[in-house]
Amino acid sequence: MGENIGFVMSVESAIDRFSTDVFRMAYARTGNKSDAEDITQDTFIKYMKETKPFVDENHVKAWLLRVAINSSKNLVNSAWHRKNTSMDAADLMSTQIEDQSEVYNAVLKLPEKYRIVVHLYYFEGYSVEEIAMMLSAKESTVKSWMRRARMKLKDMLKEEIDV
Amino acid sequence: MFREEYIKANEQIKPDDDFLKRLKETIAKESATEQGAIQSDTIIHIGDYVDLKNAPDITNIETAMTSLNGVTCRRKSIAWKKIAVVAACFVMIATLSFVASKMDILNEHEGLQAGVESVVYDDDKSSTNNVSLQEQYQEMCKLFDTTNVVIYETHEFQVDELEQEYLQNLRDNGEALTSTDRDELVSNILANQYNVKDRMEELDDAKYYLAEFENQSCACFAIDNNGYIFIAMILRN
Repeated sequence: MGENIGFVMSVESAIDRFSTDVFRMAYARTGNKSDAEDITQDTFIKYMKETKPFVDENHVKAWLLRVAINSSKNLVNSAWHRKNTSMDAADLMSTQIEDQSEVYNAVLKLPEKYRIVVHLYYFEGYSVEEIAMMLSAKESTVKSWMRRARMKLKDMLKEEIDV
Repeated sequence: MFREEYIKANEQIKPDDDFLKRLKETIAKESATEQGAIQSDTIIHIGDYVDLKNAPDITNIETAMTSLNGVTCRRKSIAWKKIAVVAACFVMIATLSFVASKMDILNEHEGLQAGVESVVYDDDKSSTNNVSLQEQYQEMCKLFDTTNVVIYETHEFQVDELEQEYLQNLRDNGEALTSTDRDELVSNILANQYNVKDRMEELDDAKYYLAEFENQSCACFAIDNNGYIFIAMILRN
């Protein structure tokens, strides 16, 4: 559409382009496939209903990841999820994680907020400044989370974590 | 080392194809529900063309009209649904009459490409603009295999009191807009907000319609001589 109304990407195109990134973000946050699918679906439904214009494709992706993070927070914190996770999801998660690398397993053992910043920084390639904006957090806070995450990973993996 | 291994591990994590298929189906249903429309498997954006000429039979015209009906009912108000259905029927009858009167023109075209050329190349627009229209057409080609369509509202326009009165007058005066009406509509309401103005001006021979779809709101669309419906805009106050 017109330049003055911003960048428009259909939901279907957004799914084709970014569903894997959203799913990976959700999986990194929850460590659970079905939860990651729920979060991915929820994220794209919100995208469908979103009316504000986007600047470009990167803006769409950042928005989707941010929504996925928030959706996963809501899901993980929900009473229903806490109750059901305590019953059987621990086994499910361990089964799913078995086939994954030692590095990925180590990340999944980090506290949830650390997982998010590690994923955004090391996989998505966002800068600390960009992550701070996405999470509505101070840069110093993100740096602090990154530092603690690296220390924990170093302990688990017995290796230095590149910055 | 850590980064490489983490990226490598992540690349193995992908959503299932079945999940993605279900996701797209769910989005289409949600979109239809959101607009109070019938279940649909295709989304038309405002500004898209709907090719009626390619329709194997009259069903596609009904489909296109159904999509407008879908917009009319988006608030799920029973009263407005009734009004919307009546309005949609009115528009459909007008459209069918118009299309029937143009059947000779439609029959003159051989295949889709002829129709496209008449839209894309019979003007003095820049090559960039032509590419854009061609791309629009390619997108629309994908829609032909589908049976249901729904308009996805990408943009709505706020309408002030004077414009609202103007639109009401247009509605009261009948279903088809004259080119003067169209120009006035464009200049009064759209100003330079939206490049739909350029698109509408390309459709010199088109008839323009205004379909009421909700309280004090309307959809404007055009049907050109090549059998395209151009979903121009949705206005809301």
